[in-house]
Amino acid sequence: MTPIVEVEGLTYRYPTGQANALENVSFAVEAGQLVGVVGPNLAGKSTLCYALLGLVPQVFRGQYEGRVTVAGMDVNRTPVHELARRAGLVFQNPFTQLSGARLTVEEEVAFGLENFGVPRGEMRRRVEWAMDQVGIVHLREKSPFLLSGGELQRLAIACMLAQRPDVLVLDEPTSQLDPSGTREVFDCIARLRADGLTVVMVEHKLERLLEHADRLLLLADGRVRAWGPPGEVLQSGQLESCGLALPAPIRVAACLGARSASGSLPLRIEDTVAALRVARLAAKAGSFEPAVRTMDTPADREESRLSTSRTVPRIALRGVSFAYPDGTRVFQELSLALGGVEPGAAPEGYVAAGAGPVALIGENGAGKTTLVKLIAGLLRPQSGEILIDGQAIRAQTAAQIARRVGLVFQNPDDQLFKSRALEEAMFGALNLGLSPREAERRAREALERVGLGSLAEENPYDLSLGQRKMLALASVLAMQTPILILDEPTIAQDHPGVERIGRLVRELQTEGRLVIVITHDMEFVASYCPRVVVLARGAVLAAGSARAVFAQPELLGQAGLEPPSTLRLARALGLSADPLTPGEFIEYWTGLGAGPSDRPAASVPPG
Amino acid sequence: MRPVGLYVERQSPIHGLDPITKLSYAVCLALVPFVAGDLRITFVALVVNLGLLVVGRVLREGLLALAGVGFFLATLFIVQGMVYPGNATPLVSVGPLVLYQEGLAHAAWLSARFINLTLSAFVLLFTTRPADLVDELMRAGLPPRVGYVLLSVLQIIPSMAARVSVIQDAQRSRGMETEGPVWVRMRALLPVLGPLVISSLVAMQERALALEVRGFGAPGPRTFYRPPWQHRLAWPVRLAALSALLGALVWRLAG
Amino acid sequence: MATGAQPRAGVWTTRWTTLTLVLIPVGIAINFVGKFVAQALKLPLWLDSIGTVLAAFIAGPWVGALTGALNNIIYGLTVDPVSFWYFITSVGIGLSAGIMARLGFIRSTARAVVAGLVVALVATVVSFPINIYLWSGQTGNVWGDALFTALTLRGVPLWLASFLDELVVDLPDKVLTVLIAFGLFRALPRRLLSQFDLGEAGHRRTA
Repeated sequence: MTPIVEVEGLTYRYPTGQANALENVSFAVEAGQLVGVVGPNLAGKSTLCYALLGLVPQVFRGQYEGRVTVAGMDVNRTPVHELARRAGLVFQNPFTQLSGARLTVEEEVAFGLENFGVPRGEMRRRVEWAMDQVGIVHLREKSPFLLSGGELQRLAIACMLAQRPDVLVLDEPTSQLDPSGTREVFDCIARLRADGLTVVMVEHKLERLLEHADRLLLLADGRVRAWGPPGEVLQSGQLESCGLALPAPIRVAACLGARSASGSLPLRIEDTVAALRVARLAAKAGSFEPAVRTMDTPADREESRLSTSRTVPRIALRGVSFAYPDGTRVFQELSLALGGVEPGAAPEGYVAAGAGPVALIGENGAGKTTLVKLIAGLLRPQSGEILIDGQAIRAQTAAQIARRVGLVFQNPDDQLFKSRALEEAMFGALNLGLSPREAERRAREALERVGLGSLAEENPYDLSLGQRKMLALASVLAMQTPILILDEPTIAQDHPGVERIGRLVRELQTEGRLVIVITHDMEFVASYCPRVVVLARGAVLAAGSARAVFAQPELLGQAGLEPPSTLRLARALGLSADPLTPGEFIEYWTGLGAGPSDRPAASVPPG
Repeated sequence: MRPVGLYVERQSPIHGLDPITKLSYAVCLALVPFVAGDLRITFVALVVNLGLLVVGRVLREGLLALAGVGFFLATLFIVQGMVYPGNATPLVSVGPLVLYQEGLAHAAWLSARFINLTLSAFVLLFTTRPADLVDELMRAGLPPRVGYVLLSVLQIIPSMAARVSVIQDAQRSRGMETEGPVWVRMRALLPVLGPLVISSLVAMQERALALEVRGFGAPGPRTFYRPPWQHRLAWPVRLAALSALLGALVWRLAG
Repeated sequence: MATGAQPRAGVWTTRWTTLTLVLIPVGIAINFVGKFVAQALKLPLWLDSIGTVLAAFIAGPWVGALTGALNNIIYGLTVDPVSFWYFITSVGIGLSAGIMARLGFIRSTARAVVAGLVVALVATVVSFPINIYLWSGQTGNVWGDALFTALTLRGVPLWLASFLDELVVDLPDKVLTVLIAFGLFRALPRRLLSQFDLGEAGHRRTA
């Protein structure tokens, strides 16, 4: 069988590039396969996607060597619009890929077909079929601008499907989506794959990708570091050496030496469960030697170090009610204490989260962002009082409150506007009235902390989205506020980025600052946020230690959340403990009787 | 997110008429006074326009929108009343200021012409979705690239405008004041416009790529998803509007 | 210098790509939003041609002119039919901003002020005859029209009074518009600008 996509010795450099974005990349995709492309930021993954559609080099220009063939066409010699009849591309950002010229979902799907001059009858049939394939038929009359992220990405896929491609290329289609949006997109991919579509998918979310991929391509610094069936690529250890993290259940399996029936690492959570059961039996028979190291400490193990002596909470909301001008009621008589005060010691009528970094979790629309905007003074309650360190904030402008509450927005592009990263990082500090010199000192220090120290002179918009988020964070860090609120900091970050943010959260805590994190990333909460507040429809469903909250599956279900995957693994195995992180799981598991052997472990898995 | 334009969603015979016909009508009727150069003819056109706004069930909206320019029209009367070159007959005097009859008459002519222009346009604008108008223009031969520009403006503006308050919030939480004396507000201009403009321009690159893979550069004839907008009165109305314009011309030449 | 590897573009060179085309609606939207933000911050300015000027800086005089023309057409087709008449003014703003940029007048703030003065002058020269035709010389701006009245009563010819009426309104507005566009242009990332031929406008980054 001839491959439908063939890449041979592809080397490419952007016109402004200092180095090659891709270097001697070769691989081939058979029809009907799903190829997952993984790698750290700046590995060349997007460039590869552009190359498969001929955008590199036709639109971007630059230096190009090698040969890329898609459905028998040489992409260097075939105009992009010709290639586009056989191959589709879905981008990262759900919004920017809309035509921006169509009022309804169905017309948006038809946009490409109109350009290709497809006759109306045929066009109608294809639009219906494509909408049906991704499950958006019910949205046909809606404006694309009113869709959720998951719906938008499915729309983008439908737009491509309508062009009847042989190959669909997706460039991190879920990186900017929340868990439910991610699930929608993956379900949709699974259906398309069942219909035999060839898919090349760049994706950070390995756990999901592994459920579907036939082949994995690992890129780093523009080179192919590993290529083959997922099990082999995982086994090679190359992912870790490129700075990627294995999904928690696989890390557990790798550590404990559990293997699937075929002898490779188990890829899905069910396989891990089965493999661990087998391993347990083997251990009882005395033939199993786990390779154990404590890999990480869940956040709440550090609780003892946290000061709990405060009697006045950092932030107190007293009987706060809030409704948006359009009448949408969010909070009714909410009383919540954040920072310092333990749940048991909270004043009458208050819910308290306790000392330590707090994660604010809940579905979209639960009121998380509204809550932090109230704290930052960007919204004002209709009744009730918000106190910071015991002081009411009512009479202060948002800019004044910003001296004490630093709020980092989810989308960095809502604030970045300077021509140098350094100036951007100084913006907040200068607004506080600091001297340019002091502002620059703080800004440089903040850039260093978020890992952008060497990029201070770059234009913010020449940085990747993950780096831009770090820059927005740095500009607030430089204001040195006692309270810091981060809205979805881990979205669009690769694994090293997530770890860096986690470390930062811990450091700020030890410096005595209160950190509040809004996030959908439960693995992050388990590792770095000992305290959790669960919101659902404007009410606090639970508050307190992360472990206690995660131990209540029904409650999480009510809030539309899933526990961390390690905990799910433990549940599936029927364990009585609640391990939050792989390290904890392994510690517990080995304590169960399959205890550590005296022989030294063969390999040390990275955390 | 408020869409751009004056369109009011209603059911009416004017709403049902196809956009090209309404456009032809609006252009012809707006030009009638300029061609005829006569106040009486202008009044006839005005009355026709008002009648159509009634039929289109948008008279109230139209008059409200017109009230917005009332102040400008008032200054027109005052200034022209004072300085019009043909001024000879004093009519009113307020202190040292004298308003002349000729100047006021001239101002009346300028305003009538202007109001007629605006109302003619309103017959189209209040009853036609802008995107429908551009769609039909493309079908009638407007180059697809120009059509794309016009259509996408209609979509980009509301989504950019919706981001303004988000950006203001983001900058306020970095300590920027947006209220106070004029120089404080002036300093907020770049921090608000900057993120909006730069990120829109950056996002535009991805949009351009997305258009490429959706056959935007494909040669050959384009097709249309929506069937053409047909109306049995389309040609009669177009012809009537054109004859009105020709009639005005005849009036001018004969008068 | 970041853009040194670029092929040098002349004053009138335009690279017609899909990206250039997409720049036009974004420019028009920026015009609209500039005005919107000026109103939101209650500033006594129009600031409704920032996008036209920016498009001209990025892609040259022709794209600036086209952005200006389409701006007034779309505005006339949706909101205000009178703006049709002034589409020549917008074309003038786009052309002059693009030419000044390509002649190297956006290398520094001082030069940008000169560019702003030129754009203001062009806008005035193109607008005032339209004002004379439509409104017998007025602009609708209170300060400008007060000046117009005072001058006319003192026997200054209509065309001159009308010219000055327009100039007092346009001068601060257009100079500031060009300066804001200049500030925004300097903050644009290399990755974006490398896809256009900037000509002399690309020299600014030597600073």
